[in-house]
Amino acid sequence: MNECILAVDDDREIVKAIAILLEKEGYRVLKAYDGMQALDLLTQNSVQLVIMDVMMPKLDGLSAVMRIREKQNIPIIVLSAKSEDTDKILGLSMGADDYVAKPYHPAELAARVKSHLRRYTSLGDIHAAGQDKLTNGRLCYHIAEKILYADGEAVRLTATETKIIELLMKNPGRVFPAEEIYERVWEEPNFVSENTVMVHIRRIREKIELNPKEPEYLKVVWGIGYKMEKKER
Amino acid sequence: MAIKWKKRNVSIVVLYVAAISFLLTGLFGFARGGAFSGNFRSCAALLRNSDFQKTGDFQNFISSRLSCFLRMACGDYVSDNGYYSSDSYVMGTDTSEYMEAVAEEGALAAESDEAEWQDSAQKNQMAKEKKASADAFHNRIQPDKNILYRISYQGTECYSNMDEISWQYEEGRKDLPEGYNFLLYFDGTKAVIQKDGKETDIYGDGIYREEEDWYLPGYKNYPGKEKWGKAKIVILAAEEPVLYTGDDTDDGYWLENDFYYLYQNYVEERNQIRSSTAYFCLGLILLACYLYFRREKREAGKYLAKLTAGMWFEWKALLFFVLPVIFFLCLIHRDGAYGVWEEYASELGYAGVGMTEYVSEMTGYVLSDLWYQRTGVLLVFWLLYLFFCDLRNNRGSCKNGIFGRLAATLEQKSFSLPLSKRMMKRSYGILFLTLAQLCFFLGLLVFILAMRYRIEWIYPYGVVEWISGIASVSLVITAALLITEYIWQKKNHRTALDLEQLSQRISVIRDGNYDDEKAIAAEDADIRRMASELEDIRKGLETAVEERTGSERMKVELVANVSHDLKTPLTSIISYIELLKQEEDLPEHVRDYICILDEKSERLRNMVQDVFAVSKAASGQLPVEEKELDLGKLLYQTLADMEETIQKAPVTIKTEIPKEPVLIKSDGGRIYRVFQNLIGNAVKYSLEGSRVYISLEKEGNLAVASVKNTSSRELNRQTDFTERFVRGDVSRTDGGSGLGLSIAKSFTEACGGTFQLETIADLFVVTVSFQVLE
Repeated sequence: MNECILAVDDDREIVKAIAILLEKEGYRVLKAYDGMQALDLLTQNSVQLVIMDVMMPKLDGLSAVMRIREKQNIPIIVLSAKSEDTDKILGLSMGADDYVAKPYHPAELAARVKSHLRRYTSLGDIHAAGQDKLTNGRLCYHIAEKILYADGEAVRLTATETKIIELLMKNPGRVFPAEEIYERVWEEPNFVSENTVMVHIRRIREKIELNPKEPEYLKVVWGIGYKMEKKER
Repeated sequence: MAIKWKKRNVSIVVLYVAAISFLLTGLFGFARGGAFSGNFRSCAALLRNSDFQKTGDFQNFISSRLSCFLRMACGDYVSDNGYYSSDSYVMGTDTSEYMEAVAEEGALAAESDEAEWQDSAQKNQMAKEKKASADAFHNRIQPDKNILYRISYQGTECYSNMDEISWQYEEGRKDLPEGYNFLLYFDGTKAVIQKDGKETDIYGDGIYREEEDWYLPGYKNYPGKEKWGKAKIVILAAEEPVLYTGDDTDDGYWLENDFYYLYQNYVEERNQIRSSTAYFCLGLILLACYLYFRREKREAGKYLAKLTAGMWFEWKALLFFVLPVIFFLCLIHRDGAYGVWEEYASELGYAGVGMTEYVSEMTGYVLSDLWYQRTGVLLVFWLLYLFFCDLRNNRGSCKNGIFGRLAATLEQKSFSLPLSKRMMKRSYGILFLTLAQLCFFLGLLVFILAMRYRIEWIYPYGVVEWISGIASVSLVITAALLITEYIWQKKNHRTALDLEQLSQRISVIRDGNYDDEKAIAAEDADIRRMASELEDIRKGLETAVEERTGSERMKVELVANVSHDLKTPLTSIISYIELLKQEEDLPEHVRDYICILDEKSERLRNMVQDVFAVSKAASGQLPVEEKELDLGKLLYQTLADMEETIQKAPVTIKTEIPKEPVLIKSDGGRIYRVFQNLIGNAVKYSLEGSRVYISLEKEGNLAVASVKNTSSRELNRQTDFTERFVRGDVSRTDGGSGLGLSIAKSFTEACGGTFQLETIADLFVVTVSFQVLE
């Protein structure tokens, strides 16, 4: 593997922790402590992914992201202590691919890095959607095989879970009330409570979401139902 | 109470109506009696005196008869041309008129006497004619037994309609035939009147006065003719005259019954005056009663006005004003083919000496006429009263009508115009009217001057000068008015423009642009002052708002910075704990330490996030995305989401949530947090083995969700649990941040709901309510 990752943060300990974490996963990690340094390192090395903090001296993270985007198309994950939605949207609109709020779980960060690298390097063809494929962000559902791929890796789902995923993947963005999901998946009138559907949704989440507590794909629309979030890319 | 008041009110209205009606009726009656046409004294006499034989009319009648009888006795020409004939009898004919008539008659007679002497050839012829006239008169009046008479000349009886009346009356025999109580005996020089057996002194000091005395010969100033000395006349009058009917074919004469009709008229008039007086007095008494209650009457008037308030003004004006007035005019007009109004008008044309008298007489005539239409007139009066009562009590009642509505619509339309335009529009109206007035006067002046010579033919000299003079003065005044108005309006226009600037400025400030500095260049000093004051207010607001937002921003920034500064080291802590956890060959107790570190760092993480959220919500900076959602479903979803936690806890959850949707408009994600915290708390702090009740119901237009649980610890009643960092247990050893309820409360309020917390002993009840969507 040996993909090269650039970790940028003004907090040296954090950079070090990221480096240890990712090196354990088998990546090569370059360290930078401000935006300018990061840009220098990027010109000198071939980097496949950037982890960038927002608040940094000399050149802040978002400006650095913009500068990187002028030349390169590599995945960029933004780290920030600001966890508000507006900050998230701003970061993503500046050209970042992902946004991780501090304090993050190291495991989550590692998962995200892995996900982005897989899509960027080995599975460049993942976006080439065929007729029998339903693609949404990192998820890809093969209709004929009835298999869901997350970042190109097949996810092990039960038969019911597969049916739910098929229904939701076919209608990304649409909100399904629990009753409707039940009736269409179990194919019998809905007599059970919300729980049955919710339990399945939660299980699927644990299999496909990078952070099941803050799901990106399988979302609850409170007071209405459930939906598969439609992703731009 | 209300009914009582109503009853009282109604009775007072009835009282008032009755009082005024009686007063008016009495007034009409007086008018009928001639009180307004100068016959006031006779009216008073009628009231005072109930004896017909004491009235002037009776005296005149008897005097006139005596005069006729004297002529008959002396063989003179008799021309009683029916002065008292019933159909030409006019109420209020006074004595002087009668006297004139008699004097004229006397002159005529004297003339004929002279002629007799001058032309002796016709003497016999004349005597025959005189005799014939006397006979005719006798024939005419003799069947009327109400008046008995006996005429003798030089001792011989010439005419009589008595059956067996001797001259004994003159000699003092006092008993008259039955039914007669009046006797007049004329012995040639003096007359004696005997009434009800008593002799009346008619001569007094011997000087005749027009007002009070009998017009009989024998006064010093009315001695009578010489030849009357040979005549003796007895007249008897019935106490109560009756109607005599005779044979129609009798000599071609018809029975006149003058005396009877005179009496009847008297009776009628007397009764009239009496009843009028009675009405009037009754009216006065009632009016006095009403005046005593007049305060309630005002209320009653208002009550009446309330009844008519709903009508359109035009209807009211037509029904209560125009129609009554027309009806009234018709009433007055109806009787006389010769219109009262024409008479008024034509009479007004002559500006004469007796005009006021004439007018008062005519008014009396009109009023007396009204006696016959009193019901109609009263109706008219009360309709008019209703109209004016309405006008007085229903303020702005004239707006409730076609024209009023039209005006209101126009006004409303003009409201959409800016202030200055509206003000100008109003002033244009006034300017236009003044201009019209000016044109009118100008036209009038030109017309008069052009037609001057023609008009002078019609109207008396001087009228043209007067009118043209008035017109020119009016013209000058109007012109001055117009100029003044124009100047004022110009000034007003400027003021209006200033005002408009001011109002625009106010709306700018109202829109929250406190920092927009712009001076108003107003010409009016007052408006300049207002503008500068407004600027002061704006500056004050600007500073206040800036201070406020500044401090709010500082607070939020502080919290954000603090949480940011907390988050960065926390990231390192969590990262290295994770790394430590991955170390393999560590002693067991070190692993335990790491576990504790892991747990606490996680709690710290949650707390930092909660602090940030609650501070944002409290400062009103929490972004809220409101959507239509089903609160019942949200509760089910929350419960399903928290299933693991719930199943681990030693409590049971009991739900009471309706199946049908309870739709509200709110931010689902935030409300989820609210219930997550509430249910989490309930599960965490409940007594082991107890039940947590979660219910949702509709109360009117509110969706009320509640979470009830029995606390495992004793609740301190004084504690405000929604206060930040407050918890049921003081030791703060469990895993909570102490912000759960605070977040729940501030989130609920940020999403437009209400949050209520209640503790009953150890029962902990939280109620969250939202407006239900229709």
